[in-house]
Amino acid sequence: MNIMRPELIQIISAGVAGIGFAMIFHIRPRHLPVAFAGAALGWLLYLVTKQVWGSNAIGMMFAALGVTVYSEIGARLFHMPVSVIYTPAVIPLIPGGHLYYCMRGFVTDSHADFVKYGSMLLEDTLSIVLGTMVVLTFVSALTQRKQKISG
Amino acid sequence: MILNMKDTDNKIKIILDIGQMLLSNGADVNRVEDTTIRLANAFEFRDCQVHAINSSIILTLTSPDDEIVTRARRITRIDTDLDKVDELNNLSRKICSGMKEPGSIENEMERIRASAPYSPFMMYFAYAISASFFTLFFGGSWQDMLYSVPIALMLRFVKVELSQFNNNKMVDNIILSAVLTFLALIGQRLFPILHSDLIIIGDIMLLIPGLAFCNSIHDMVMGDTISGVLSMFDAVLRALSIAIGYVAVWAVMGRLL
Repeated sequence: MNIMRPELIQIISAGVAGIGFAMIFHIRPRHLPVAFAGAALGWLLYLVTKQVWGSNAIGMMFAALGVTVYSEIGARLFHMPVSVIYTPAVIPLIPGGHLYYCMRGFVTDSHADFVKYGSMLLEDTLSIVLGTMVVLTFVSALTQRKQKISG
Repeated sequence: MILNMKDTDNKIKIILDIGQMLLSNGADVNRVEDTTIRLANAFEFRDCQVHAINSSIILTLTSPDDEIVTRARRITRIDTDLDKVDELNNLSRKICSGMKEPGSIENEMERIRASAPYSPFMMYFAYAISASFFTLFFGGSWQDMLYSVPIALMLRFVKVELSQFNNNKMVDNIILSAVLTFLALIGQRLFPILHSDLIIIGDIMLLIPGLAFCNSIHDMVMGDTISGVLSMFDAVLRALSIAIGYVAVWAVMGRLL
């Protein structure tokens, strides 16, 4: 069982959960492999950059950045709307765990937990926003320019 | 002349129908405005002005016989169905490249409206695999994974039942998160081997408004600040309602268990 390291389990289960979410959003069966790849890629990027930089926030940022690039490229390659690829891919990055532990800190009257997980929740959210924004800003600048040239 | 008027009305109706369907199935505002303008140009309208936010579309255009027309549509509920967004996108591309008879466009729209890539049974399956693999993802054991499945099925069932008479997503989320917390805590009580924390986290991913949140970032970057702020606030409210449901059940059961 040496092969099934926790990281590998996480990457694969992120991918499968991504497929589940793609189905919840009614994405057709032939696009499901793209959803699996996107979700697994996002978590892989997070684990790698977190290892290299030693920072959770940077890891989240790079994962969101990578997923956004992946969906912008995929959308143009396969002629699909960007959100069809982006949404299932970004789902595993969403900090559900921190949201839960923050709520638990709140009800169990544990101020330390509430503040700790609340701030981690904010940190993760901001990192995802930043990573996505960096790419989208470039994309919108490039596509608007293209329209001006062609029009 | 009267026939011509009718024709114009029909075309505007088609443009607005497509815009409304895009919005109510979870397309971002930027795409809705872009598609509307393309369609209007394809139907040879001029000076097309469109303003879309998550809850409405306002469209003003000048018809080929120099009449200025304004129409508005209100969007009340957004249910994410990205397959319909994809299909509508293909349809509008077809219209722009020449498919212009209102009859055939309406047929196509009817087909898209009725299309569903997955049966209700498959939707239950999707809920089950999402929740169970997220439980595993956050470090749950195989027992936790197993127990998160019936909860996910229950969440889907309650959600479908609620959508029959309730149109408020906050109420939806409060009830769903209360059901989820209740079942997870009961589970831990019955089978002490389970970790209710990890089961709740796995299932809570189904309720978290990830899409509203992602769309809001997208809208804000693309310059649709109003829509971005609206969806961001919507996402925050829905996250808060998850917390309300959780806190309510915990306040009662946390003492009993």
